Amino acid sequence: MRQALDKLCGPRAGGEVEILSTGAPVLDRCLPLGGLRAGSLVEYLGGGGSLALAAARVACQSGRALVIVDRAGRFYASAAASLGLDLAQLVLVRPATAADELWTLTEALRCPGIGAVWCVCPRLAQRDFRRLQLAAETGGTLGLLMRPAKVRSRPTWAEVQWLIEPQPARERWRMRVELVRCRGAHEGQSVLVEWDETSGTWQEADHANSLPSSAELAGAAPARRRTAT
Amino acid sequence: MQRLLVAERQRDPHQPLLLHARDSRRGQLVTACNAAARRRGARAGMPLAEATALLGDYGQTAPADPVADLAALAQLAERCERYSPHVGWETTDPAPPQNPRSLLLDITGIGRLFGGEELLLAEIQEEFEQLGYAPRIAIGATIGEAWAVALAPREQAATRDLAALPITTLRLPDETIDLLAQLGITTVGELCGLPRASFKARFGEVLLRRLDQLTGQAAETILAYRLPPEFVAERVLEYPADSRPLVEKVVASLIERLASDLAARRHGAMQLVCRLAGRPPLVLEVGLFRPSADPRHLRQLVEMQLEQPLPGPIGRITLSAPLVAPLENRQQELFGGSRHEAERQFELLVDRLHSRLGAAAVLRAQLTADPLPERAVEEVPYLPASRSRSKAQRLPRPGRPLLLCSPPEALDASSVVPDGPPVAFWREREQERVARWWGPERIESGWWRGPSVRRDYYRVETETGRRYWLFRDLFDGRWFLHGEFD
Repeated sequence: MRQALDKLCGPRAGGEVEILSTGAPVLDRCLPLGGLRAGSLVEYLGGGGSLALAAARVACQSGRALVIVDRAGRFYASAAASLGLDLAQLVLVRPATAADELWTLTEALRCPGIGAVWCVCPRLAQRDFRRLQLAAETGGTLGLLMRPAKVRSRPTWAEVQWLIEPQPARERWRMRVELVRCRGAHEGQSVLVEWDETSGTWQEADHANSLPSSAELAGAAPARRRTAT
Repeated sequence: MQRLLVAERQRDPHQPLLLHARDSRRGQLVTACNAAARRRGARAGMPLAEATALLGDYGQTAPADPVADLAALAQLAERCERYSPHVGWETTDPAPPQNPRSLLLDITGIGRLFGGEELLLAEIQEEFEQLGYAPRIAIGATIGEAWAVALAPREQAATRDLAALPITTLRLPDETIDLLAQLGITTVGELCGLPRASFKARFGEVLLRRLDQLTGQAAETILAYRLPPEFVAERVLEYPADSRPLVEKVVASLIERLASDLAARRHGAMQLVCRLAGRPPLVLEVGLFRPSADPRHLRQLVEMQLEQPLPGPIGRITLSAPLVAPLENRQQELFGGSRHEAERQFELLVDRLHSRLGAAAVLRAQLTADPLPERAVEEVPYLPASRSRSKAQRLPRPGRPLLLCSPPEALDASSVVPDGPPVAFWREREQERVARWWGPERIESGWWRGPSVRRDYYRVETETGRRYWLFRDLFDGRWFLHGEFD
């Protein structure tokens, strides 16, 4: 009954849904739930594949598999391993056509045995996007989509959308991450994150913009239902 | 040996032929030779080099193939099933029965069906000779007796005098025969004259057992040969059909049938082959990650392949499971079974991906020791076998880009110092100015790996903050983009 109600009401803040860290504490603080909801889609616009892999690492901590859908054949597993992923958990799928790619994504997202799905998918029709979102909700799988920055203005079915801008850095690899959209959060806030090679984590950069505290964020906006796209 | 002679019937029987196999201690040894080779002095067990020298240029050699021998023997065993309800095979080695060489038929009470045991024997002899074999067949009261009479010289076999049989017909190891020969014992009768009590200590237990098996004092059973069960379901359509729903329905019913056959034997299919006989025939193959006899899962896998266009009217549909394995029983859990369920769901997903995308598209990545970036990761098909194998964990090399260009993209770059880092490069007709760089990291491949590779890799950061992985080919000085940090 409770599950049926939850399904009817859609995802809610708190409750019983599993919250996963984004892999960077500073990004978690931007989100009203304190992390990403398992069973949702997250978009990374204009890069941030490594940042998404950090989130995937958290989602797959329970030993579940990470599916990499890589049609372009550019994913380099050695770099993923140095980002702290266990290659034994990784399933690399190389579909040949766009139709196969979409099918693979849907199947993988729908499967409860998968922790997260990571995919570079520049083109995605609205209807397919919605299908992916439903599949992720069914399977409770985190879908991480790398998309170009130009899709920013388009409607989205992703629950969280980040915009990544690389930043010239002094020493470390640094990028500015802007929260483009997320229900119940200050949209448009941005933080600077840096890759800390010694600890293997994404850290907040020293000269970050001032941010509202997480307590403010939690009370700032109640969860709204998505109406339409 | 006989299998080869049958396979190449046009071969000249006078040409010497040797089969050889590798022995771990003595190198290549002769395992069998034909009559022509034996006339020239070749014997089984002698080194190959020695035997070929005896045969001269005229002789031929071939490697022994025990697997094919076994398959040929299995075929013969199948043919013999019409003569006996209980066909088995025998091995000269005591245990384990790995290398069977002869067939045993239990013909108790069968003879009268063929008009007497002698006629039965003649009929089997004729059938084998028609196939091209030269069999040695004998009937005996015990397995040992039949074996001995079959191997004995013709005149002794006719008299059926057990005492006169040579000891070589006793299925003894070569060293025991040699030892007995040195003692001057060549026949079974002479052997029986020796004090029985000393046999075990002097010749080992085998001799006693073989002797008793010959006389019938020790029991011996026929190790039955059985064909592995085949799982096939077939349906012939009355009228060739080209309507997809009909074909799908028939396939579904066949899968249902096959799955219930499998489940009855507690087996699951590891591979399914569905053959739609049309013009041209369409053959669908499905490989599974884990044996399954679940009709719903099997149907899903086959239907995924059925999505392609049908070749035309289809008259017959055959579904078979050439590869099966015992089903694993998993205990149902009352609480907290979700983990196993998740694992099972994952395996089903891998099956589906395999079925639709092909094995070459579903991969597992492994790190290798190769320093060359293209070869640092080995991608192997995602199979259950590779799942259990855990290689020694290699540490990934640091500073590798997440997105790799393969092959590397050539680009124009300029550097101030001739062998120094790049200052600017052009990508998609835009100039990118290098703000910072790290390197070089020199990577060279060994000369034994084909065209050799010498590169200086730089990690560069442009003024906009993007990071790339460039290298300069040290042979011609050209620049390449090899990856992008994302």
